[in-house]
Amino acid sequence: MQTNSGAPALLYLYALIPTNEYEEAPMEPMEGMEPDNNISFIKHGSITAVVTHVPEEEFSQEKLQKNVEKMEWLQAKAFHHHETMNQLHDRYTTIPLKFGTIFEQEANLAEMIEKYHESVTAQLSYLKGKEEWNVKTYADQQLFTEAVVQNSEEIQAKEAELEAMPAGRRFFEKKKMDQFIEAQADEQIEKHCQSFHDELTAWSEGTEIKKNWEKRVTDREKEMAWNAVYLIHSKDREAFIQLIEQRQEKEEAEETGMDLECTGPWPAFHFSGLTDRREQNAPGHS
Amino acid sequence: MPQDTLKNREVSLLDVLDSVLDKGVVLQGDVTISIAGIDLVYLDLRVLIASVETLRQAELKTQKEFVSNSSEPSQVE
Repeated sequence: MQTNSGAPALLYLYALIPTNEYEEAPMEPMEGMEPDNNISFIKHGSITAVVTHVPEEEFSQEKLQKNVEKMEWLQAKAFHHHETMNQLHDRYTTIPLKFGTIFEQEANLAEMIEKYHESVTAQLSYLKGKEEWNVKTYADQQLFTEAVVQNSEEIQAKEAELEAMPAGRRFFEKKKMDQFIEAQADEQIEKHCQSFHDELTAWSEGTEIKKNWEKRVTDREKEMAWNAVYLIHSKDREAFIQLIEQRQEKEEAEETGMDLECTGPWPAFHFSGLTDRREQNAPGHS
Repeated sequence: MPQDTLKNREVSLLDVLDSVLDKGVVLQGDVTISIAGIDLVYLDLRVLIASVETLRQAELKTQKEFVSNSSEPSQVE
């Protein structure tokens, strides 16, 4: 396989879409990872693969591992992947593949589609009319800590006891108590988030709870307390967003210090793949 | 501010990476190559945030140059 420039090329796979949807509404040519190579649509029966050629000198496994550590490179390529996916998802039912799904030869792609045909077909039918939303919650830990202290007679009594202790012992006892308070506050935050998660889950076909980002990544004062994705019917989008907005208003009215944020619609990154992830991410299993 | 996010469909690089790299595809055999076990978002946060900051600053600078003759406010945060 060759690029326009004649260098050996690899095949970069963005997504799998239903052939019938593509044929009903074919897309205008779109720029690929490399400006010289447009995106192409390879038909394999009822499944169409959305691909582009990428140069081996940048995308071979070895080079890719190195390149993803360069932020400028990763930013440009990851955003391209993301933008392309949004354009596809705007028009077609889409199984988005992860960044860096690459084949050495077209024959290998064909083989893969053959192998996962059943799962991909089932997923395309399941994902039709659905989309993914990410919701993050940030909590003011100080507020929850204060509430824990205020609401616990036990802690207040213990604090009075501490005052009367000799300095050395007080130090250790206080440390122990602070840890206890912190754990209680975390538990309250978790409970708070979980109740909201349950509300969102009621509207969802699938959910996945993700890792929270650390403070030094988010660069915010508040700690991320919940990071989850939800697969919803596109027709429920307004209702889903309204639920989040209402919840935010409620948090503000009650001065809980909780901030909510959502992004979307995303293609079903967390609810699809070559193999079906439905079982794993069905509500109640996460 | 969910609405702003929705309207502009503007997501951060971290958001994108958290989705497009999450549990990177790993296929067996000679069929594909893929980024094995990439967990960048969590792995080297310090490097990442430093780079994102730098990029954001660079973007702002570029944006300023672009819009200096325009009345449109900058979209970059």
